[in-house]
Amino acid sequence: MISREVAWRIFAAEFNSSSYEIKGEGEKAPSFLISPLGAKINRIFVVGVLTDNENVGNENEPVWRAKITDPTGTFYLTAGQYQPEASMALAKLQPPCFVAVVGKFRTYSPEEGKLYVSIRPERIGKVEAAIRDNWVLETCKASSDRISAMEEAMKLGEPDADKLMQIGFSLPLAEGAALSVKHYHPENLTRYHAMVVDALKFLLPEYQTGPDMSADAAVPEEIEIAEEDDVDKEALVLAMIESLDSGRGAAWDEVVKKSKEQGIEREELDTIANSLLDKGFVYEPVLGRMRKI
Amino acid sequence: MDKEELAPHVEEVARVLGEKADKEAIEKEMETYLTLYRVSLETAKRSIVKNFGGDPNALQKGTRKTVETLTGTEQSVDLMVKVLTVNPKSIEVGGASKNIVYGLLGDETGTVPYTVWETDRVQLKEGSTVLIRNAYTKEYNGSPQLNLGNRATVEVTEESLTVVGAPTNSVGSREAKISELGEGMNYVIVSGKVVSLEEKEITASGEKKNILTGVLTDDTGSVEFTVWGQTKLNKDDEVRIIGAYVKSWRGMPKLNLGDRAEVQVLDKGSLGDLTLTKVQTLEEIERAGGAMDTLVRGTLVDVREGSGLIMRCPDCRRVLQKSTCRVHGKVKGVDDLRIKAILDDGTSSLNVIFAKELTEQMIGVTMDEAIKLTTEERNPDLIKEMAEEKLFARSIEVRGMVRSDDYGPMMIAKDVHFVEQDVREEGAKLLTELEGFN
Repeated sequence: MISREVAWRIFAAEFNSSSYEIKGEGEKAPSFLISPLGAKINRIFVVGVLTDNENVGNENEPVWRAKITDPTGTFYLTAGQYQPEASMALAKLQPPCFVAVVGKFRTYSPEEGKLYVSIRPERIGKVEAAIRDNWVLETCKASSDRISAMEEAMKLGEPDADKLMQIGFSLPLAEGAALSVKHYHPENLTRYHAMVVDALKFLLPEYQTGPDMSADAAVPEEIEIAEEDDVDKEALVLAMIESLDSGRGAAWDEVVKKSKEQGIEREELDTIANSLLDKGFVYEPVLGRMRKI
Repeated sequence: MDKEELAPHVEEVARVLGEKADKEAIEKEMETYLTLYRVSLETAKRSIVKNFGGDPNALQKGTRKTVETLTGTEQSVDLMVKVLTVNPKSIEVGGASKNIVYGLLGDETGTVPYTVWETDRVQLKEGSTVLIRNAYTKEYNGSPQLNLGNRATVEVTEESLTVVGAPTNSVGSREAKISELGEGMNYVIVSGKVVSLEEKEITASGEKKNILTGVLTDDTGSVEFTVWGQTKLNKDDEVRIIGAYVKSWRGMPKLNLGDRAEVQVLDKGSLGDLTLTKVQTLEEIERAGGAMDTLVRGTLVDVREGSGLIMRCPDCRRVLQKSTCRVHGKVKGVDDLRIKAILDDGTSSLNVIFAKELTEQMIGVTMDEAIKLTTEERNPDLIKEMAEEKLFARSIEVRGMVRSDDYGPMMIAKDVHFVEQDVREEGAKLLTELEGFN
């Protein structure tokens, strides 16, 4: 009996930081991606905002590339001819909208020591905002369970799944945490703790003050840690886009003009706009116009 | 082969033969076999033992192993173990009944389930330490099982062994909730309410016998039970059962009250509210393999082929393919509506089947409407597509029966509703926990 692989709930920030793949040996043995918090992933379940959706193949052989954002970052999806149902579903979807995806992980390694991960969707469908919120909560719970297992595993000199199970963790959590500690040797989990806290704040109206709710501690691409100042400017530009929007999106020229009045130069504005696009706070309904999501 | 090399083999033959022959005679025989007849050492040893009237199977042919190192592929293996449990059982083999013994053995490295297939040959006593020779192993559910067949021999030794990893559900007694009952649990204590009870007459090994069967319920689930002894029970009794054992059928655990079981009738209401409220994780369900009545929660991650409007055979209710039943051939089919879906809660997944009424409730379309829509749209997959659209990624709470077959556990749903979480309240609660932790 081959049992179906479970669908892990995992945020983009954690998923994209995964660099440890265990390839299945033999014909039907599944491969796994071990995440930094010890999710032993074969399949994942994700709900977020579809921000980009493009056929990079041709009409006869479509290959769909899509981006889905969650409160912590962006998932990258690719669906080709072997994912006919997902491809068909993607062909019908118009960003932005909330979507749910069930799929398997894929890896791409352009050079030794570098591993990029993406999702090969099996099912994708449009959903309502409530389902996204529900997913964020569920994923916060799942991530914080993994953090607990990791913290125990890090206390053990020699991380060992059996010992973790004796403490009371389930087999998949214990196994994954032991593997993760051996591979990633984390010193602390502060970053992921912050990721969960920020994702929770995303759900709570009292914290929803603008884009600064996406604290950068949670973003995996740590190279560009935004300064406090930048975050404020992002909030400012976002508010601007919202106020200039009369239904069809804010005209980009207007945004440029307004920004200049606020002391934000064109070059800086481009960076801010790109960041907002990446985080899924705004999108371009047509060229030259921007709207808040 | 010189004398020195031969010595341990002579020793071994002598040990097996005991009083039957002395070492000198064995040594002489051994030389004859090896130098004159030039047979292999193995054959020589077996022949000598046989000639002197001993049991050649008692020769140490297999390799000595510890429980931990068993792989499930050993054809002949020797073990020094402590007998943890001994359970006689009668099974049907090719129409005839046969007595076997099963239980658990252990050593310093772990425990392993065993079966004795020849009960005349081998008798095991609970608590004794034994040297088992020529046993073989098979893999079952991913773990090795030790088999004592017609070649196996057992020697009782005086050595004392400390056993590690003896599961508490197999030795001694243990208080369990109904949802925790699992195959092979041996002396379990369980409390619940008898919600149904009936007397049955059965024929066991040619004898007519009256037994009681019924259903016991607590707040984690329900289980079918059978009383084989003389215990008195009444419907609606709240009871504490001590010393029952569990056997599973198609993954569904069943409670058995044998002669050793004792029933204490409790005061009415002493078990509190017995409404099924405890939600099981799908990992727990997978581990148990089945449940008579259980409550789970998860996300619908797939609506499978075979969902929607289907045709069934009017005689046997099998689903038709191209209006043909694989038993009754071409028949006039009967319409039916169902959903086969996969539920996933992040710990594991489960196949769930929703019959007509639940399908109607979930997709908001009656069967008559479904037939009409399908005909109008000329799309036989219309209802499946509707179900996909309505159900994909939705969270549900579902109650039903779970049993296992070759494809793993499967639930037949009895009751279902969509789960609407108060995300803000739950989120705020978790945030307080996490920040308090900092």
